[in-house]
This record gives sequence, structure tokens and C-alpha cells, in this order.
Amino acid sequence: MSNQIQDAYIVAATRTPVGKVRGALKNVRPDDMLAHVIKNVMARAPGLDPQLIGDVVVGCAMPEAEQGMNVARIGLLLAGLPNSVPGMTINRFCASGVQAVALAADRIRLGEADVMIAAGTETMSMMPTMMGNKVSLNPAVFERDENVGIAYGMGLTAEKVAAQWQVSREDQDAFAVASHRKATAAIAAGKFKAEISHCTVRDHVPDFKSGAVKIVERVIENDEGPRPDSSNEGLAKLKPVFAAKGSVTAGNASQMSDGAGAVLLVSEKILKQFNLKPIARFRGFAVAGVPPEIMGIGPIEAIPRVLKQAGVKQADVDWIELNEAFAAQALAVMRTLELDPQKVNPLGGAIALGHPLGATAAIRTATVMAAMQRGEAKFGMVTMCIGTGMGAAGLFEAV
Amino acid sequence: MFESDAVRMWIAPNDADIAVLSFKSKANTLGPDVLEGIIEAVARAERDYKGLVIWQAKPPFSAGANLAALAPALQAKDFAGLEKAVARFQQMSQTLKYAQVPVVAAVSGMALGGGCEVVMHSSRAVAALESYIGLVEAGVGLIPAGGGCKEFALRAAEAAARTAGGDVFPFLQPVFQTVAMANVSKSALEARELGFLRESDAVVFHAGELLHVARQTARALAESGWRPKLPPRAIKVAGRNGIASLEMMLVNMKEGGMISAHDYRVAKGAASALCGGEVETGTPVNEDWLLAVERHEFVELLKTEKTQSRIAHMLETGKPLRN
Repeated sequence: MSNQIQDAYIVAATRTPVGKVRGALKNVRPDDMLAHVIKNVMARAPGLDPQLIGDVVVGCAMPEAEQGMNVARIGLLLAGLPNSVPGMTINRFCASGVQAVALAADRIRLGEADVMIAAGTETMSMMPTMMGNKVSLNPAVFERDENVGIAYGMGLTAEKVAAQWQVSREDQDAFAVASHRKATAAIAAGKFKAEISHCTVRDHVPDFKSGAVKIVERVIENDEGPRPDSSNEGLAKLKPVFAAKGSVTAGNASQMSDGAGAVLLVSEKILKQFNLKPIARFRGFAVAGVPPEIMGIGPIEAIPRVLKQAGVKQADVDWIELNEAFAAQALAVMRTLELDPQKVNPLGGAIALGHPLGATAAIRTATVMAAMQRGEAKFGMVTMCIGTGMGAAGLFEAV
Repeated sequence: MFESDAVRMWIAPNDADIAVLSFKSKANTLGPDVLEGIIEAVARAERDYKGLVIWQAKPPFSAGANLAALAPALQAKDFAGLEKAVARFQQMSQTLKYAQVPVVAAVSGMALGGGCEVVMHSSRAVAALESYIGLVEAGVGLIPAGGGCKEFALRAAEAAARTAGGDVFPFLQPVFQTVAMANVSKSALEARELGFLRESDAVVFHAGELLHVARQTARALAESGWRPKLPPRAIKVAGRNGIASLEMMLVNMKEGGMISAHDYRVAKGAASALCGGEVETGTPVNEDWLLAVERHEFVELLKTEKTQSRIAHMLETGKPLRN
């Protein structure tokens, strides 16, 4: 184990339902989503003095425009936390949410804080492009061949992984269908109910008859992405998007989404002081770099690294939230590390549930915590590939 | 009143204040003699008439630059001579743009390549609904170099100047795709969406009314005190960051097998011309600078074997070569 002086415990974790891009949450600002999950995660630890929060660390992959201006600080103030509580926004693209958890845990493990909030928020509905509000690539990227992969779109990197790891189109489509089936079944069984803090969306719309602005309320309780009717036959009809003779389609790639998640971490002292029941102990986090053009394989490097660091065997991990950026890369990771398919994304993954970039890992941490609360996992992991070539993995142990 | 082997400038008895220029070349292509005819016609119109309409008795408006006229110099590898020819085309475009009388392009049918550049540099265009306008140079491995890229860079800079951030790139991105993919409008209305026609250009639904509307437009402009715009002196360009961002799109298309290596090379030339070359983003330049960049990129492409093959194939078969 590392040189920590104390453990960091997760006492609460929650998330919004995940909305499809330009779907149910399209008009909900990312700072409002963040405020919503911060309020709700605090509500799950009644009695805890918010003045004790050392910092609020928020992951966001495109921290600009609506989610710029240090969205962490704005979100925590909108949540009603005291203005003595600081906040910072961090960015490690798709791993931002679990990176936030790791940073928050580290402050506690070092003895520098006793209460921390880690979160993630992202609206893809409000982003004008996948690359944020302004596209501007450094010309130096093209000066050396080994850097050109930085310019690759994520879909193209998935094509490269599919080719190099020989992941067939049929396998990718079957993986995607399974993701939808698992997610649909999980929703039907109410498996996400405990982790989701439902959202009441208030749309301000014109009432042309009266000339007034009308407020229409909608309650969003479930993830919007899963499609019960997804089938191999249906997906087989989709054309490749990123390469003329490729295999990656809109159907076997993650969905663009909106959402937020938050995790409340405390020290043992706080557990005792406020009589809080821990869900899990934070066991470690690792991140590793890989070639940008095959960024999808990032978890192949990160997973063994975190397991070694924590002294935990892969076979002992019972629940792995492996972000399904693309079926091709998820399958390449699973095959290379020989991950047990039964343990990977038991309730579906980003292909069905959606992938709100910097929020996803915080959201999936809430999923792992809920599984632990149901007694379905002793060790749980949240892992994902990261744009420009990285992989990250966070490890938790139920207590 | 003026006629050469390439052009005819004439007036109608009832509209004697507005001169009309028509081309005599096959498919109204633009060879050196047509360019000289246009320059001469503008000079005569400035001296003797209220305005000039460029109109063809039968479509197309113009199938573009006469590639066959370039062939001998290309075979002789006389690239200095070719650059001079391109510079002369650009002079013609600028002559249209800064004419002291309004020049109205009356477009019907195809206005491709150099023909499109004539439209873009006219004071106004009046286009029949069935107009097929586009910068198709990429099809023969070239980029628009008769001022087409320059004009798009300028229009993007003008549009950006009206926004809060003043960022040129969002206005260039769609134009780049149009140029790099050699997109041709399916109608005059689409030509406006693609940026070949301006909001101020008129669309005429009955092609038979084209000449009348064009003359009336020229007359109205003249009688409302026509003066050409002053040449812009500080056109902010997307520069090297813009080129890199466009190149990012190209890398993905090439690696995805959607375009060839030479398509990539050609499109990168277009990116450079549209972004004002490898200068810092936001650098103010003038039209001469932009014209020099597009001229340079054009000639560099002419030097490549694959562009030469594309041109030869087009001249032999009339069809584009994908190489």
C-alpha cells in the first residue's frame, strides 16, 4: 500500500439520470447538475457539518463556456455550501470524475483534509462540437510523425484498436447489444434507483396565448440511453462513421450525453464523529500513458498498475465499470487482461447508458458504491481509456 | 462596340447605358484571351457606360479556366510562366471587384472554378434558380487561385469581425469543406448557403428575366452612387493554428481511407490559402498577401506529378481522376 497516514472512506455517492445529447437534460446547465448532485450527496450524510469540507474537486472534460469559470466553485455555491468551502475544476478527459475522487481521497489520506467532495459534470448538449467551443490544434503536432495521433478523432483511434486487436464488427455489435440488454434489465429491476437523484427539470417556455413565460416541470428518473429494441440485425445495418472500410459505428460507440455525479469522502475521525456508515474504502488510483492513436487500450496499462499498487489480485475484483467508449476498445482491454465478462459492466455501460465525458467516472463510481451497498461486490473498479492516449483505474473496497 | 475572338461587348438599343459582355469560347471557358477581353470591357465600361453585365446567351455561365491553355507551359515545366498566368487571372478578378462602375454577373447554369471566381468578384450577381456554382479545382488537383480562396478568407474575416470573439475559424471551416470537396451547388439558393453568392445577390426564378434583372441591378447600383469598396488593409486570418486545425480533419479522413494522400496534399494547400499561410493566428494581412499565398499553393500543386496526371486525364476524358 502507499504511504498514507489514514484511509479515505466513501460515505455517499449519487448521480443524475444520464440524458441523451439534446435530450431530457439538454437545457439543464452543468453547474445546475453539479449543484443538484452536491446537494443530494450531502443529504445522504445527514448531520455532517458542511463547514468541514476541505475542497470540492470536480472533473469536467471541456471546462469552458457553460461549464467554464471554474464550474466547481459555482456549482458548490449554487448547492448552498458555505462560501468558505473552496472548489476546483480538473480535467483528465473521460477519467476526470475518478481522478477527482483520487485527488479528494489523497487529501484525506495525507491528513490534509477530513471531508472532501469529488464530482464530475458535463453537458454535451451545450457543446457546439465534440472538441468544445473552439477548435485550435497546435501546428507542432504535425511536425513529428509520432505526434500525429494527437490529431486523431476518438473514432479513428477505435478503428486502429479494432484492426490491431482484431476485434470484428460482429463482436463489437454483439457487445453493444449486450450493453443495452443489461442496462434495460437493470432499469426494469430498479438497480439504479438507489444511486440516482432524480431531477426536476423546469423548462421556461413561451405561452403565446397569454404572452407570459410558462414553466413546465418534468421529472427525470431514469437514464435515457438504453434501447430495449437494440439488436444485432439493427446494428449491422449501420455504416462505419470514421473509416471507409471500418467497423466502428454510431451503434457500437458510446452515446453523447449529459449528466453529473458526486462522491462524499471522509476520514475515520469523521466517521466516528458524525456516526456515518462507510460504503467503501478508497484503495488506489493509477493512470498510464499509451500511444495517442490507440488511446482505447489505456486500461490495459492502468488496471495492473492500480492492482499492484493496492496489493489486490485481479480475480478478487468482483465489479468492474469499464467505460465503453467504443466496443472495440472495451473488448480489446477485456481480452488482453482476460477480464471476466460477467464482472464487467454488469448493468451495462456507456454504449447504452451514455458517456457524459468528464462526469462519467463519477457517475460510475456511484454505480459501484450502489453495488457494494447491495452486497454485490467486495472490490470494485472504475476504469477507462482517455483521449490523447491514457488509461486510468480507481479501486474501491467495500467495508 | 468591342469584339475579339474571345469576347463580345454589346449594348441593346433600349438599354444603351449598360454594356453587356458575353464570352465566345467553348463552354464559355476562361482562357488568356477571355481574361484580356474582360479587363478591356471593364475599362470601356468605366469610360463610356453606367455599368457592365456579364451574361451568356446560352448556359453555362462559364465552365471555368481553360485547362488546355495551361497544358503547353505545364509540359515545358515553365512554372514561372504559369505563375504569371495565375497572377493575370487574379488581376482580372481584382479589376472586376474594384471597377469604377458596377459589374453584375448574370449567372445561369454552371459557374465553375474560374467562372465562380468571376461571380464572387462581381459587384453583384443575379443568378437563375438553376445555377450550379462551385470551386471545383480540387478535382484536378488544384486550389482556387483566381481570388476564390482570398475572397472566402476575406468574407470569413468580415463575418468574424461582427462577432464578440472575432474568431475567424468557425467561418472558415464550412468553406474549407466546400473547397476541399469541390462541392457544387444544386441551385442558386444553395450557392448562397455555400457562400458563393452573397445575401445581396439576387436569385431570379425565370431564367428569361436574367438579363433584364441584371441590367436593372447594374443601373440601380450606378444611380445610387456606386463606388467600389476600398481595398481592406487588415484582414485577420486564421493562420498556422487554423491550418493545423483543418489538417486535423484531413488526417482523420486520410487515415480513415476516405481521401487519398494527394487529396490530403491538395486540401492542405486550400487550408493554407484560406488561412492566409503560416502566419500567427489573427495576423492582419491584405488582399495582395492572400493572393500571393493562393498563387504559391497553386503553383506548388502544379509541380506535383499527381496533379499533372489529374489535369491530363481531365483534358483527355473530361472526367476527374481519383489518385
